[in-house]
Amino acid sequence: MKISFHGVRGFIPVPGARTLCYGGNTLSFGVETENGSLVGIDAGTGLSTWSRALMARADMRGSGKFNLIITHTGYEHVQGFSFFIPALVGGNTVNIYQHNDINIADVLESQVAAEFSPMQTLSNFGSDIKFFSYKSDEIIQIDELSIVLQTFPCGNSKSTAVKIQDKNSTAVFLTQVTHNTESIKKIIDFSSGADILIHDSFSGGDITNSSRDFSNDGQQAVEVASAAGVSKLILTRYHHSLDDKNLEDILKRCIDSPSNKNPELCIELSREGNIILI
Amino acid sequence: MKVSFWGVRGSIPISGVTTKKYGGNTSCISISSDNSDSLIILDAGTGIRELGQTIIHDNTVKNIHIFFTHAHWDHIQGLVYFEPLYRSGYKITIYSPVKEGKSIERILDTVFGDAFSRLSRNDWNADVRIIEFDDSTALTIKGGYTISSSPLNHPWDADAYRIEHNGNVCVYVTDTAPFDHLILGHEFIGKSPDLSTLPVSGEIASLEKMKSGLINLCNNADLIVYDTMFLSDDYNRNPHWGHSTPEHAIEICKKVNADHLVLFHHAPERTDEMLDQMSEKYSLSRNPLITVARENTSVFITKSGEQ
Ligand SMILES: [Zn+2]
Ligand SMILES: [Zn+2]
Repeated sequence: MKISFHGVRGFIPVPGARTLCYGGNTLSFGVETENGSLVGIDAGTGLSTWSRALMARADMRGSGKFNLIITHTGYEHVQGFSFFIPALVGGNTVNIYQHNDINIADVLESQVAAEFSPMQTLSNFGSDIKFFSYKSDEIIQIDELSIVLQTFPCGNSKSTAVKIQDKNSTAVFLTQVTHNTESIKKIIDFSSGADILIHDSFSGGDITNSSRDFSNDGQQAVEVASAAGVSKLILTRYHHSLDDKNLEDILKRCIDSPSNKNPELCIELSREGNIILI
Repeated sequence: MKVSFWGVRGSIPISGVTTKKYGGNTSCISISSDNSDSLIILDAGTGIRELGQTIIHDNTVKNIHIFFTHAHWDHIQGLVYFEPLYRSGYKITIYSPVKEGKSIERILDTVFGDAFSRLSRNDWNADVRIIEFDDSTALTIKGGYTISSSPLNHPWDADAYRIEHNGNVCVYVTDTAPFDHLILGHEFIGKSPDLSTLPVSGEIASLEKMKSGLINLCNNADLIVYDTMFLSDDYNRNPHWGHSTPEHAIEICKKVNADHLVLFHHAPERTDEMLDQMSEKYSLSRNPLITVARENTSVFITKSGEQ
């Protein structure tokens, strides 16, 4: 399985010198199947950046299919969709997958409403955009990938965890979550035995304040990853206040964390432009 | 008068090494003057986040006046992360022209709504007022600023703003298509129109009217910040997207004898190298002086002797 990272920031994009190493785009991840099918996870500004590179593929210019899973309605998960070039090209198909508990279709539609976007409505996009809703126990099959969605609490709303399996490997994405004791149990169960867990690192606190305390960022992800026995944890959804150096401090604290009960666990920072092969 | 650039991009923010010099944040500029605790903010693209941090840190500005050219996301998406909104001690006024099909309340409700945002309007601790004004007359606000506006040629709607303070004048013109071919309004235009058939006779008068309105607004401007997202090829390909080229901006500046034109609202794919080339290309122009907008820089207008 090939996983690519295009946007790793939460909240709001933060371009600039202080985020050059790990990246300032909001959430977007990619998984490519053996025969080249594409699965995107989330549609932050990273998706728009990725799509400029995707246009080098002949199929994306009018006969392509793109599969997109959107995990949460927050703006950082959807704000790149209007500038996702393959969705604007006639002849392409964009299949958008959502968990039953979450209504992504309505949110994307209101995002592109006339006052907010020159597109005015999704039906003005050139491609054929289709929405598919799944329950927690249903399997989405895309080539050799079997994908399962499950929802988790997230403030007043819900967010979706995504488990992607091929015959050799398993990856779990949980891009945004506010864990409580019960949901920690649930996500440990959901990601049990996965090779790779890509997990929200934000530990709460004042969302807008640039001087918020980030000393606990990533700690819950470490607790989940070590209890679930995953081999590799990748931290993501960084707060906008964090610069490259802050992220390296967070990584160091996570590696040394008392919540890390598994000495074999490998912990890394997600970084825009990175590709991981499992 | 000090005009500061916090976000200079159009469409969508862009991160990475190829845009680090000019910056990747979307549209936001601020205007301030000596001896005033009032600050004017034009547009709230992602650049407004850093501006908010600077306001808190410097602790001199207490009265903040925000105007939006229009509600496309690249001009409003940073507002949720504008920290003074959540702090008591700030007086923030959000202004919007009264227009058909436009409701500032609805726009704010969407941007701060449950679906997109974890912060809501109820989280605001600043003293926030929303004023809808009649855009046919000039507005005078605290600190000695006079603000007037004129409609632009952009899908749905957009307005240019003229900010005047003690005889110094800055005009902010984004987003707009030129006034040569077609009127962009509420109708969605999906395909690139054939320019050789335009303008149609029914639109000539409206285009002229819009253009002369903008020229009036720009009269005697010291500084004009103009949407030059396009190069001429881009315009010929997509004249219905509602953006201009540097040549369109220069034409208006020459008509009003503006001193200084700042090329603004750069396309996300415009790299530092391309913007350097653009800067070089226009560096010999003196009438007007032409520069390329760059994040975290300011331009001072000192015609009336004060800043
Ligand atoms: Zn714009
Ligand atoms: Zn616009």
